[in-house]
Amino acid sequence: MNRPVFMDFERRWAISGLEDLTGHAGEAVLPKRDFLARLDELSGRVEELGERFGVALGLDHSVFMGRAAILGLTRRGQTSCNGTCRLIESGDGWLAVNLARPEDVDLVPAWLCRKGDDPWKAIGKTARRCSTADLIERAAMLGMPVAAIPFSRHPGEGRDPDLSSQTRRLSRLDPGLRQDDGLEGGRRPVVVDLSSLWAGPLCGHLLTRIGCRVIKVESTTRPDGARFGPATFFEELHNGQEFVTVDFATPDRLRDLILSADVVIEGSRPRALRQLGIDRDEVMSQRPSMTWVSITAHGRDDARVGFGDDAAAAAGLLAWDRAGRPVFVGDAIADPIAGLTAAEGAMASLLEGGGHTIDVSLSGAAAWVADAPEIASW
Amino acid sequence: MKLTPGLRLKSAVCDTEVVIVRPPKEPVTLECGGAPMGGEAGGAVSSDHAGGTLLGKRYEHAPAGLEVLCVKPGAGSLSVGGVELTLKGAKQLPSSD
Repeated sequence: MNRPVFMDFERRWAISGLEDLTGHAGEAVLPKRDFLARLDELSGRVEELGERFGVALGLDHSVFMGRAAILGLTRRGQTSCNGTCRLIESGDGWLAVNLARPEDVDLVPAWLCRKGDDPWKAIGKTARRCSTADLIERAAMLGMPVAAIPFSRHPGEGRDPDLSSQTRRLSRLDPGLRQDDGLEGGRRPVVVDLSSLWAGPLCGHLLTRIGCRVIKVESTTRPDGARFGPATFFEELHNGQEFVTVDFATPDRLRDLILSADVVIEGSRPRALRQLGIDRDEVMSQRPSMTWVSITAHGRDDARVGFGDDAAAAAGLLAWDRAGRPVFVGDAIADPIAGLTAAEGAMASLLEGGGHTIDVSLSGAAAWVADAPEIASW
Repeated sequence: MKLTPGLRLKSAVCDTEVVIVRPPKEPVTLECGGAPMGGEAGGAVSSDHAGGTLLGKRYEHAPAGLEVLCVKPGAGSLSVGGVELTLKGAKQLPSSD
């Protein structure tokens, strides 16, 4: 009885495109859990909400795998598809280390307390002699995107890191509450999107498609990094939006924009926004019907930074090869998962008239996918 | 004191703590609030070096090749030989993550 289940999964996995993005270059690795079912469930929920706005979003697997297709990325085992993140063995487990920014490379000697020409060589050598907890603590102090993988190397040995701060905290809204669906006849909700890269912009993209007026706001000195990536990807995500640049050093204009919005999407740590004079609680007390979409790496109360690949690893959204080593699943997959999760919350909030904070963390959203039911074995 | 990568130093006169990111080419003394860092705690922040430090920001002394990261903010500002270190800008975002 179990056999067809597995074969069915294998086939679905291959067709979805995830097979090409999961495992070693020369050998695909299948996950033990049906991640795909969760991805489909998530897109299905967003799709249903889209219909409430009278829009068929037509979400297929390209929402998760589209970027890899545009960039021509393929699986690279313990290196992320984009090449910046690696799974590293420590003295007592595994870490995901993402040297995504030049500064992250600069910080490696300070992280490991050793000089070295090749950062990855230095990391591989030193990490083996250190505990995961020590490595994570030092990386967090330095603001580096490093995360522990929530599995010990050998079952029963070591302890999983505490994931309680990474649980999914999206407000659970009942989408059946209102009958007067959609945006017809009403004013188009204004969305101010301060986010960058993939997760937040994907949320903004979906809100554009259901009829919102989306204003993308960028700092004059620090534009969205995705602008320096492939143009097609950036254009697809921002099609139909308005663009505004603001000098974040004099944030009055930023404040005015935020206060004019029905929905704010931001991907900053709360501390960073407060340094700009923007406080979520204060803004929402002035605008009680606002929907505030907060996208962080590991939650609003966790100051650690993170990106799509290390956050997915932190959630355990990985596959394990025959030698018992973890490999990446997909391309920065926590990003589109978090983007869809954020869009689901924002759309549900709009249908209820706003007034919610949609608190989505990359690792929390990915943890829900990682927690998929196990696939019946042979 | 030799400033090596990863070394964590406390200010003697305020709450500031830094980690050495890039060591200096020649030995220098890093000060905070006008007093050498890592020394015995005591004394007050000098009014000439009271600009304060910001959490998570990087500061550099280009002539010495020194760069540090503030891991705990405080009231004093960082200097080498009385010359204040300059604040580096925010990290640019990656083009893909």
